[in-house]
Amino acid sequence: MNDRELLERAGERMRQDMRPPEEIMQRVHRMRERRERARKVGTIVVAFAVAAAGFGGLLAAFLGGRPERSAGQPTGTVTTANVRNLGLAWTGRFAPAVNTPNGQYPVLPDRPVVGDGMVFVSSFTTIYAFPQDCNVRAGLCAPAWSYPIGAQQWYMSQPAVFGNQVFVTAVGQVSGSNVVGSDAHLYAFPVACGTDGSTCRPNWTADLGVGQTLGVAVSGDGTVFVDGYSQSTSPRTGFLAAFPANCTGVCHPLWKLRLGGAVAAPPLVGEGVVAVSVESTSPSLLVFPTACRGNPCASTPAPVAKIALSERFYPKIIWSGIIIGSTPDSVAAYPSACSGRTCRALWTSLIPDTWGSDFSLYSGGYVMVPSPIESGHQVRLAALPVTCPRGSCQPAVQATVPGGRLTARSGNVIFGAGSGLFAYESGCLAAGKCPSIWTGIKWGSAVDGVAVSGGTVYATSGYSGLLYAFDLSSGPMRAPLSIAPPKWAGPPLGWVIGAGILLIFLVASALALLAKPDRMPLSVRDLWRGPWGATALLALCVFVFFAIHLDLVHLHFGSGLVQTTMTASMMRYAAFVLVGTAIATAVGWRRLLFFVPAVVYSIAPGILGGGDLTCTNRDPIAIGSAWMTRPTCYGGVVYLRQLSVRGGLLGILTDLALALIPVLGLMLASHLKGRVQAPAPKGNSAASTIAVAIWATVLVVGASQLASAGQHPLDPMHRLGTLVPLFVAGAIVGVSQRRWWWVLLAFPVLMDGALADTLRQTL
Amino acid sequence: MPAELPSFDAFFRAESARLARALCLITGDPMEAEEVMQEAFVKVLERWDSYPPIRDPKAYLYRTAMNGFRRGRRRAAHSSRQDPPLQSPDAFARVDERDAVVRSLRTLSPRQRVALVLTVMLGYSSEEAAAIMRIRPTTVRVHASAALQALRRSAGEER
Repeated sequence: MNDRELLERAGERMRQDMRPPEEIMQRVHRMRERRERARKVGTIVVAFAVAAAGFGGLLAAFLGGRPERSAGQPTGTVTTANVRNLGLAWTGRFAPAVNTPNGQYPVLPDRPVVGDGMVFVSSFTTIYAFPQDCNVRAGLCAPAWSYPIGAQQWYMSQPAVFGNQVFVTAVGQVSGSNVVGSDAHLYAFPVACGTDGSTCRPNWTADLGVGQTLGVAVSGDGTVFVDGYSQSTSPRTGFLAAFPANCTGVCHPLWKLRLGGAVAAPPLVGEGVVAVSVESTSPSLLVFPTACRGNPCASTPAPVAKIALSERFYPKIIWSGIIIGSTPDSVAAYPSACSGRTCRALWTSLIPDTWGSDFSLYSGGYVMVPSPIESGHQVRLAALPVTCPRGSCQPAVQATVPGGRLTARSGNVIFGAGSGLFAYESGCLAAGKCPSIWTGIKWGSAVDGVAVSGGTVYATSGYSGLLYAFDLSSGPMRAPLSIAPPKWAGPPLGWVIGAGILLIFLVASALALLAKPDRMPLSVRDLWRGPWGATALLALCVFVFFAIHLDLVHLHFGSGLVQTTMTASMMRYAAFVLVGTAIATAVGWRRLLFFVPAVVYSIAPGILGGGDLTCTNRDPIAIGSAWMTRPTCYGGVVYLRQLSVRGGLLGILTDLALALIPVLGLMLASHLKGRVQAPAPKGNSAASTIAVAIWATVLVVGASQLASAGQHPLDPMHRLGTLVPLFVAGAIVGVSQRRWWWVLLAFPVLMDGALADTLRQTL
Repeated sequence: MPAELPSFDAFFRAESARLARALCLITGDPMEAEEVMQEAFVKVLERWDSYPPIRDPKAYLYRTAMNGFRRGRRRAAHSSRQDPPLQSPDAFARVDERDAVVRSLRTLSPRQRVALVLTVMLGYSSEEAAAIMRIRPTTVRVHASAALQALRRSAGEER
C-alpha cells in the first residue's frame, strides 16, 4: 500500500462519521440563501442611508439656515476698543427668501442709506424703510413702510435722504415694448410715511421721460439732482435735471440740461457743485453750481468746469475743490472749477478695477481706494493723498484688507464688505496687511452694501434678501453669520429631476441586488483600477490643475468662488462617470465600462440640458451644485455669476452622495461575497469605442439642436468641441488596453466648460 | 458566462467525498471537517454563476477550504487562550487514536498536514499546493517531506 492509499484509507474511515453528502448539499443551499438575504437587506439599508444623506444635503442646501435673532437699540460709536461687541441686533427682509419662478433674483440691493431715524434699502422693484431702533420681538423686523414701484419696473437707484424726505429714481419698461424704451421717474417719499408696514404714498413724483436714470443726489440747499439719458435718440442724449425738494404733486424740474452723450454715473454733489460725467465719443466731466439764480430759476446754470476726458469717468468724492473718481483702469482727480488750460487731470493713479468700489475720505486729506487683487479673496486698500502733486500719484500707504470693495468707516474702524463683512483698524494700513478684528458675516457670503451710523453697522445681501443690523448692545457674536442660499419658489423641477435621478440610481441598485445578485464583480480593491482609478486620477488632475492655475483664475474673475464652480462641475462629471460605471457593471455591459466617462458626459447634457444658468432658465443638469449658483441679472442679462462656498461644497457632496448610492450597494455586496478581479480590456474595444462615439455624437448633436430650438443655451459646436477629443482619447484608451491611460480622458474634460471659457477670456 | 461548467450539484457530488477525506485528515476531526467543507461549498456556490466565471472551481474549492481551516484554527487558538477547553473523554476520538496514521498526523503541524494531503493524497504539485496554501513551493516541499517521513514511520509500526 503506497502513501496515497494509506492516507485515503485513513481519511475514508474518518469520513464515515460525517453526515451523508446529500444532507450536506441541502445545508449548503440553505446557507447560501440565508446569506444572500442578509446581504440584500444590509445593502439596501446602506443604500437608503446614503440616499438619506443625499436628500439631507439637498434639504440643507435648499432650506439653509436662518440668521440669529436678537433685539437691541443702537448706542454709542464703534471703535477698535468695542468693535468686538458688535452683535446682530435685528434683520429686516426686503426681498422674498425664495427665488422667483423663472430663476431670476428679484433684488440687487444698494448700500443701505440711513437718515432721520430710518434705514432705507432699495431693491430692483421696491424701496423699504426700517426704523433704526427696530425692537424685534418675534423674528424679523417689519418695515415701517415700503413702496413697490410696479411689476414693470426693474431698476431702482440708491436712495438719498434730505430733511424729512427720501428720494429715489426708478426705471421700468415702457408698456408694450421690450427693453428698448423705458420710463424713468423720480419719487419723493416722506421719511415718516408709516409705521405699520403700509404702502407709502409719495409726496411728489417727476417724469424723467423715456430713458435711463443712474441716480439721485441732494445738495445742502435742498435741490434734488437726477441724471440719466434718453433711449429714444441715437446717439443717446444725456440729461441733468434739478428739482426742488419741497415740490408737491407732479413735479417739474427747475432746470434740465441736455448733455452731449449718455451719462456714465450718478451725479456727484458737494461743496456747492454738482458733477456729471458724460460718456460719448468725446467723454467729458461737467461741473455746475448747485445754487439756482432766481426763483424760479431764470435759466440753466453755466458749467464752472468743463473737462475733456480720455475715457469714461465715475466721480465719487469731492473734497477741497478736487473731484476724485474711477476710470476703467485708474483713479483720477480733476478740479471742480477750472477754465481753459487748467481743465485737465490733476493726477492719476494706476489702480485698476475700481469702478464698483466705494471711495471714502479720511482725515488728513486721504482718499481710500479699494481694489481687487489678483489672488485670494481680499482687496488692496490704497490711501491716496487728495492733494497729490500733478502727474502720477502713488499711494501713501496701501495694505491687503479683508472683505471686499465696499467699505464704511466709523472712526478708525473700517468695515469691508463684499464677500462677507469684516472690520479692521485703519492704523494697520502702514503695516501692509490688515487682519480682521471682527467678522459679522462669514467669508463667501455675498454682501451687497454696508453702512455705519452711530454704533450700528448695516449690511444688505440680495442673496438672502435681508438687511442686517449689528449693534454694540447685542454682541459679542458667538459665531459670524453665514448667509444661506435662497430657497427655490418656482416649479419643483429640480426636485422632480433630483428625485427621478435618485430613483434611477435606486432602481439600478435594486436591479443589481435583486435581479442578478451574483453578477457584481466589484470589490473595494477594484475602486483603484480601471474606470474607478481613472475617476480618482481625474479628480487628482482637477485639483492639481487648480493648484497650478489658481492665479490665472483669479486674474480674470477676481474671485476665489469661481474655483468652486469649476470644481463642482468636474466633480459632477466624476459623479456621472461613477454612476454610469456602476450601472454598466450591474447589468453586465463590461465592455462599455471603458467608454462610460465619454458616453455619460456626452449624453447627460443632451438629455438633461446644457448645464448653464441664465436669468430666465435653470437647466436641469444642475442636479447638485449648480442649484446653488447665483446669477445677478440686470434686465434679463447675466451680469455676474457667483457661488457660495458652502453651497458649492454641499452641491458636490450631493452629487457624490447621489452617485454613490449604487456604488456603495455594489461595494458592500461584493465585499460580503469576496474579492474578485475586474477584467482587462480586450478584443473589440476600439471598434466599440467608435460605434459608441458615433451614436453618442448623433444623439448629443440632435438633442443640442432640439434644445437650441427651445432656446436652451446649448451650443452644438461647443459640445462637438468637447466630444471629439473625448472620443479620440477614448479610442486611444480602448486600443491601448492600458489601464492608466484612462487619465487621458481627464484632459478633454478639463478643457471644457467654465475652465475653457476662463482660459479663452483670460488669454 | 461559464457555459462549460457542470451544475453545482454535480460538482458537489464529484468533489465532496474527496474533499471530506482530505479535510478529515487535515483537521483530524470529522465534525470540524464537515463544517469547513460546508463553508467552502457555500462560497463556491456564491461564485458559481457570477461574472467573471471561476476558472478552476476545484482549485477554488480547495483554496477556500484550506483558508477556512486556517481561519478556524486561528480562531480556536485565540479562544482557547482566553478560555481553555475542558478535557472531556470522547469515544470517537479514542477510536481515531487507534488509527496510527491519524495518530501520527496529529503530531504534525497544521501546515505539514495540509502540505502532505495536498501533494500526496490529492496529487497537487508543490507549486499548486503553494498557491493554495499561500506559501513558497520550497516550503511546501519541506513540510510535505517531513510529514511523509512521520507517516511512513507510523505506517511501518502499524504494519
